[in-house]
Amino acid sequence: MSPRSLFLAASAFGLMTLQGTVQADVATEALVEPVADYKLYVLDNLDRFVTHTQDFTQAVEAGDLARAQSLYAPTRVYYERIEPIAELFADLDASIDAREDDYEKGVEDPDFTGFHRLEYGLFEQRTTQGFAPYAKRLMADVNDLEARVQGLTFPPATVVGGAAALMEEVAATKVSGEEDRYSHTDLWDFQGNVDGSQKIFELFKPLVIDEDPAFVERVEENFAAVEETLAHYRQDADDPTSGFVSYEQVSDEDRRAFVGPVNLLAEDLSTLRGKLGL
Amino acid sequence: MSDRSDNMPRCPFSLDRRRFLQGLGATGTGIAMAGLSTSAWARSCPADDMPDTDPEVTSAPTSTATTDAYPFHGTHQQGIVTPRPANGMIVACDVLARDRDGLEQLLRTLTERIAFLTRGGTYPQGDPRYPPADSGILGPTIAPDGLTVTVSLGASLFDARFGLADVKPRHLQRMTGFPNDALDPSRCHGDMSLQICAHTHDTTVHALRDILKHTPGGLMVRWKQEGTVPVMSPSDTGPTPSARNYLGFRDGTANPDTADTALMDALVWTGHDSEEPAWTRGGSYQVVRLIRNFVERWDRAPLAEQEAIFGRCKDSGAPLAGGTEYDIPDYSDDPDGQVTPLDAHIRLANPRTPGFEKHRILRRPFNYSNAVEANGQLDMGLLFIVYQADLEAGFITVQKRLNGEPLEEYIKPVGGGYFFTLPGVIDENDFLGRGLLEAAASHA
Amino acid sequence: MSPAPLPPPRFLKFGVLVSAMSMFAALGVFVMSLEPQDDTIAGPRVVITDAGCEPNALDVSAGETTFTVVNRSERAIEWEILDGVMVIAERENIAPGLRQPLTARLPAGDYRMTCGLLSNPRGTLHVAAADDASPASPLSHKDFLGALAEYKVYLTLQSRRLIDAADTLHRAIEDGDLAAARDAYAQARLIDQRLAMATGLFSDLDQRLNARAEYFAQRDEDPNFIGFQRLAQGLFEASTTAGLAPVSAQLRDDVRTLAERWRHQAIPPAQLASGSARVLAAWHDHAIDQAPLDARELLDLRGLLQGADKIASLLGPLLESRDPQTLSRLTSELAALETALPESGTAVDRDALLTETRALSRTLSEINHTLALQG
Repeated sequence: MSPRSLFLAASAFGLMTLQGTVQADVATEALVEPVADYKLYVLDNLDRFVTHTQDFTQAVEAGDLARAQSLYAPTRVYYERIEPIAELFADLDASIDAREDDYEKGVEDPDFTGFHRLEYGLFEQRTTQGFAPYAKRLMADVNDLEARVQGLTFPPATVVGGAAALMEEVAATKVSGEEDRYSHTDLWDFQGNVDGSQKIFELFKPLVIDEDPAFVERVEENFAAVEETLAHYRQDADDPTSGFVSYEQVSDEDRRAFVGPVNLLAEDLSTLRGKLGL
Repeated sequence: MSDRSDNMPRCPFSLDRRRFLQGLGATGTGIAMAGLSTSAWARSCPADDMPDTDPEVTSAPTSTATTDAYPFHGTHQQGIVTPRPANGMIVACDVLARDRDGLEQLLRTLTERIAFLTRGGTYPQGDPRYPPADSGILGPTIAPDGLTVTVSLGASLFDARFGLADVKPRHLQRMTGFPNDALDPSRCHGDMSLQICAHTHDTTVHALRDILKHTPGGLMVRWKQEGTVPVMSPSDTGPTPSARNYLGFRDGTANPDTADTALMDALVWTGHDSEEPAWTRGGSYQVVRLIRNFVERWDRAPLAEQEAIFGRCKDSGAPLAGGTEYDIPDYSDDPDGQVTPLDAHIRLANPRTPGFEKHRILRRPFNYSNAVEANGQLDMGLLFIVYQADLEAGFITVQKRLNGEPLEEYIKPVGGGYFFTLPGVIDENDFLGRGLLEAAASHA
Repeated sequence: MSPAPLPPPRFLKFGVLVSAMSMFAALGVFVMSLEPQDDTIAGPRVVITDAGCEPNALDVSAGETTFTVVNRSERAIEWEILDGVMVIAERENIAPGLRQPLTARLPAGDYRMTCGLLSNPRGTLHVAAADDASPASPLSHKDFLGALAEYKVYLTLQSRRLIDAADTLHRAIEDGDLAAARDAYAQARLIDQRLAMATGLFSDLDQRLNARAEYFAQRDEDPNFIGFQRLAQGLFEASTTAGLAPVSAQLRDDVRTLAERWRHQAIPPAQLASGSARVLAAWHDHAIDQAPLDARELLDLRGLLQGADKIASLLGPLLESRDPQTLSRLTSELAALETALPESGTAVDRDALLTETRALSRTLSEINHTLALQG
């Protein structure tokens, strides 16, 4: 039996035993540090998000279509990483990241703003004309988000639950390619979600590894499987920091290859709260 | 965007999400349940109990058939010659397992889940801080409710991934379009089909969710089609008539008699043909077709035309030549189609000529009703499911005969696929597809 | 998905609440060293002499205990209860010949007591498990998880700034730039005082960074007298940077050590409130002997107030349902102290500052009891 089939097999049956078992509670004190470290991670990413949004929105306002197009995906990555926290602010999540399907009138809806409104302009209409107000609004929303997150006491269960939530996000909107339907930069977002989920897992891993080493091993292998498939689609295969090709270039087989590990991660990580007594 | 609550207490409290956004986070929620330890939450949710009062508007509808159960173990899978219940669905999946061991694990898990689901039972109660073991849509204890889950494999499963090519059922192939087809790729084919049937729709949905929850890395749903058949009162005089399709005609009248085991062995169960791999014995070829019916237009067609198209009387289901639904039409004295047009559906599908016996197929369809097309017309039709021992001799031959029939003006096949239904699971030690995997292993 | 209206930042509530409650608080009883003492006070009694504590070992039961600390030494002392290096409770500036009560809720365990001069031997305090159960339905530590994590984030972010400020201060001193050094001192000290509660968790670092000259055997001549107080003496009293570079270099290292220790230090939830009360009381007990208050005292108080405000924002949600009255009192006292604390250059109402500080400290010290928190 190959290692890969081992973990797929283990997960198929392991789930029943994961559920319903009551594990020794992790000492609450032990959760303080990872929750705090997670907020620092979020603040760091927010900081970079603000900087990148400045560059991006300035390019839009300056009418530099090519530059705005090239900055669209690299900017979003930071938002996608911290989505479990960012989306706590429903109003900003809507104005920053809603898709046209969220509005009854679609792209014509005056409330449709944010990244995807700009994406529609930059990649579908191929213009920056008339988009300066959206850029300004986005910048203001992003600054607002940063201020609010700074003042937020992070709900620990949201932090821990975020690991699974991000994978649910991938499973729901990234694999299908509907998130960035005009720019086809879904893989960037995909990577952002995976990064964010993996970060949470890494922070809390020390608290669960003794209790359930098989769980940790399974999650790590599935993250590795996702990363491996993602790596095929980097613009520069040898550079793990380079961007991604269009999602249209991802083969059906690879889209399918994402689904298994992503679902397994969502399923496994959904038990993380329980394991930590949250 | 999802609305995610935090530390959500169980039953007694609801949390105003905005409140905890006031920079306060979990501590705010912690307050809401101050004094309640985790175990106290659990106690605050009493076990499922039935109020002892007269039915209210929202009281669950009742049925005496919830305890109906079909034995899971046997030479054949259930859901083929099993009486068709009111609800059914086909779920076509791709298999995500990376190798044969992963596939085996998947098939073992499916076996285990289907055995449980079709027998009924109680789910384990777990720690409330974990996701529950079950969706819970049928409560903590489930009744079988006439559930059957029938597992079949598509031709694509026999590609290079699992090394099964050498033991593929002889006639299994990827469905190709017939002239009237307008196949939508997103509703065609699949590595595996699950046919899930039960008395009630929710039982089928529950079974599907249970199976998917237990196979997160194993299966990816490609498409799904749910269907129903109208329920009838039992007939006092003779056999219960066949159910009607959404064109208003009885469907399945000419089915071979499932009580006749010799006939079933000949027409439905594979393996009596020496050219098939031995492991296929007890299985069957499954054909699924999603056949859209243009019902608005059909409802505006004259009754006489409708009856001529089918070759049966609409009200009684009897052949146009006369008699009752179950009278076998005899076309020998109508060679020119004066009574039953030569291109009538039933005449093309089964000319009742000597030698045509071997082309008969076992129909087990459901009606489907989906959303609405962009033009405002109803998207409904037939979830056509048939079983046969030989795919070529069965459906493919019959469908070729039907090409060009007048009915085509009112129907449009848009999806489906060909699958091979695995032989049954003999006993506790057996699992779905064991014979296939053993054959593949000994072949290598 | 409709955009939800956002609630106003919680801090607005603090800002707009009227300070009517502060009158009530000011009238509350606050037992101070100058008030008449009653010899019939129950509870253990510790006498501090020039040589140390008498007795040098105490046994008490878990729960709330009121210690009476009598200063029979020649100088003002502070008395602390330590758990390892962590200060659990303290009373500062007990004048010679006087006594002060100190009330603490102690979980069972073994503690140490400081006994006057930092060079004196430490006493031991054994707390036995009590029979009576604690008040009904105490909050679990889990309820404090969010607050503790957020405080840890605050510590991390503030300590980064403290390190930067300490570096700037050291460079200015090395450059001999007195004006720049004074500015840098103010920057660093403000942050240091915000974090005073948390620094107090480590008695060694707290001593190195913040101990006043009077607590050392040779006072400001003592070679162990370093830290902010030593720098302040040089920069503001001697008005020179001469000789301060080794002190600022040490301080630069010490704030790094501090930040590193905070990273891995678990902070007992009870310390959030009681620690904040403690550092405010310490400021009060010191300031009450200072007339008038100088700019540095006011700077320290501003930092302490900012630190207390952060704590109040973290504990506010817990208090809100447990005891809204305490929360509103706390809120108004924070606002009152903020109002009483003048911008530089304006007149100082010393009595108001002392009163408000005392009231705030007292309210903070009651919070743990309200939240049924121990340890």
